[in-house]
Amino acid sequence: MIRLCLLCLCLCLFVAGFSGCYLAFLTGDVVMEPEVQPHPPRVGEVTITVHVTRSGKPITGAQAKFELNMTHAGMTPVFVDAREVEPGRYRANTQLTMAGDWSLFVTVAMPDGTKAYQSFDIKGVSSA
Amino acid sequence: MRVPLIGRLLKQRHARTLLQIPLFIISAAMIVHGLFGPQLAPKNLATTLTWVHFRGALVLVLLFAGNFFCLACPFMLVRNFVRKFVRPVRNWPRRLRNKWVSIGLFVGMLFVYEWLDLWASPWWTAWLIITYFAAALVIDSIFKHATFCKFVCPIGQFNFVAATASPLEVAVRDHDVCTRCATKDCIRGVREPAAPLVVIQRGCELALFQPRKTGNLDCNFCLDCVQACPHDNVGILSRVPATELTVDPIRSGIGFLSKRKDFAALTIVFTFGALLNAFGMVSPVYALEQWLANAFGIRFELPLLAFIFVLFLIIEPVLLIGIAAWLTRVWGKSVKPLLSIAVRYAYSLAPLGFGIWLAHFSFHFLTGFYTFIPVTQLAAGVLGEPRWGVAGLAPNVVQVFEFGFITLGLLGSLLVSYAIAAAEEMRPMRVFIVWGVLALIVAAGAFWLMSQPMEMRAVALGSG
Repeated sequence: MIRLCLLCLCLCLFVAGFSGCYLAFLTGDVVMEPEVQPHPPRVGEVTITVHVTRSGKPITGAQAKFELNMTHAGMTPVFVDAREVEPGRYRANTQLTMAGDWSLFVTVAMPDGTKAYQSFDIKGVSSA
Repeated sequence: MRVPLIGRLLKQRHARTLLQIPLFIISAAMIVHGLFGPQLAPKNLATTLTWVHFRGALVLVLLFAGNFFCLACPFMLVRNFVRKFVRPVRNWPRRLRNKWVSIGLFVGMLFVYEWLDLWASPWWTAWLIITYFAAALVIDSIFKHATFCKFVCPIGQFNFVAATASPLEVAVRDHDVCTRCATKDCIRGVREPAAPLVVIQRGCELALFQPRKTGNLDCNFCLDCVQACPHDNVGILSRVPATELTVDPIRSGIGFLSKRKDFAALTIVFTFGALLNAFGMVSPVYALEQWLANAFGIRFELPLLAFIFVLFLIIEPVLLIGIAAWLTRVWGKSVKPLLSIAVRYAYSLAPLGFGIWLAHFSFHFLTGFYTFIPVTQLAAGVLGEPRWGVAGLAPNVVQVFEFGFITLGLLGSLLVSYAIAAAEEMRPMRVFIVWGVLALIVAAGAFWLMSQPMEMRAVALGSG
């Protein structure tokens, strides 16, 4: 019995040690700064703008995609393509359909073919 | 058991194992994905299957059939396997042979769900599943019989109370056959004829002797008794839901329900816990937490959450049930002591509590039904591009079902309280009015909650 408990404990420690290693994003030296309007965000239409830079310089001519997820399981994500409104600033309008915590996942395809990803929290979206 | 195919399957000795294996495989996949997969709840098998599909399917199966999820419980598959090598020798301590430990764990489970935002955390959800497996394994490796199911498992206790409103139960077909039966294999197990100490088919591990068993309380549908009965006299039979709550015979493995304060407390926690759990997913809970934070100058969620739990699970039920019990004595002219009244009529809340759980869980289940498809595609990695567009029914459509389930539960509670009052009171109509009003108050709370805008978020306490 003691051996069984020790085995279980070792297994748990092993799993705990190796779990949580999932990498959600990869940006390299690319910096992304999101902005959501209205602020604080409410249910309904929102405008999301992400400022994408490398070494302080805006990255122009990229393709940006936004993916919005609620933090609760059972919700479908919202996908939207952003357009460049100013050099390095990518913007899209979309709907936040429910109050609560949301997650914004940004994918930027650079003109040179490389990609950068980053996720952000949009916490506490309130009812309209 | 006479249903073609299904009946034949359930009569097989390894029927339970056959049902447990798929759930075990799914559980293993959920654990792996929860620990190593994407840590975004809508994209992870652990959170999606646990909080959307498992809970929803569980309550719907309980509503339309019975406690079949306990039958297919994957925790017991592992436990049964380990018991081939480890023979438990101890009995569960006598003072713990009641529901108090499991009530504490049930409340703890509800608390941890809110505190750690389990609905949003694949990692914690995976650890919750691992904890269940480990607890079942350790407890049932030390203690004999189905100790984990009967005295510990919070899901099991939830299922036992909810199954009082199920239309199916494991029961005896003909009591005369049991009277003539000399072996009582349904409880003792089938023994090897040449070696009577060797059990070749278990009897009931939850100490439920079929001829004296009433209803679904404490029955995990393991079907050991069905397979052990040499006369094929035990089966899954239909019945009128919730009638078991209206009668009070001495029950095998339980005794008189009217004397079991622990079962009554479990029913109360089950009912008011349903309100609390639904309250945790709507906007007003955050306003309340913010108000409490400002009023008491507290900036940590833990004490605030504890306060809300005390409010919902202790103060509110004690007040409401206490007043109802007092009115039953004073206005309804009941001669029973206050506590006995409270215990007896607490059971009438079980159908309503079940209706509220149904409303809550079916909302997530029906609105997010198809989400298992893209999440499985993502987890498997070989089933093509995840189809994220699929979800389920529209929330406004599901709200009709939610209100329907609460109404159904309310009707059940009204009928049960009327039946108890009619059978046991001198002024049954007055007593029924008292407990009927209590059920209406709880149902009104549930209707209000279900009509609130849903809001799922972690608590961030500001000063505003």
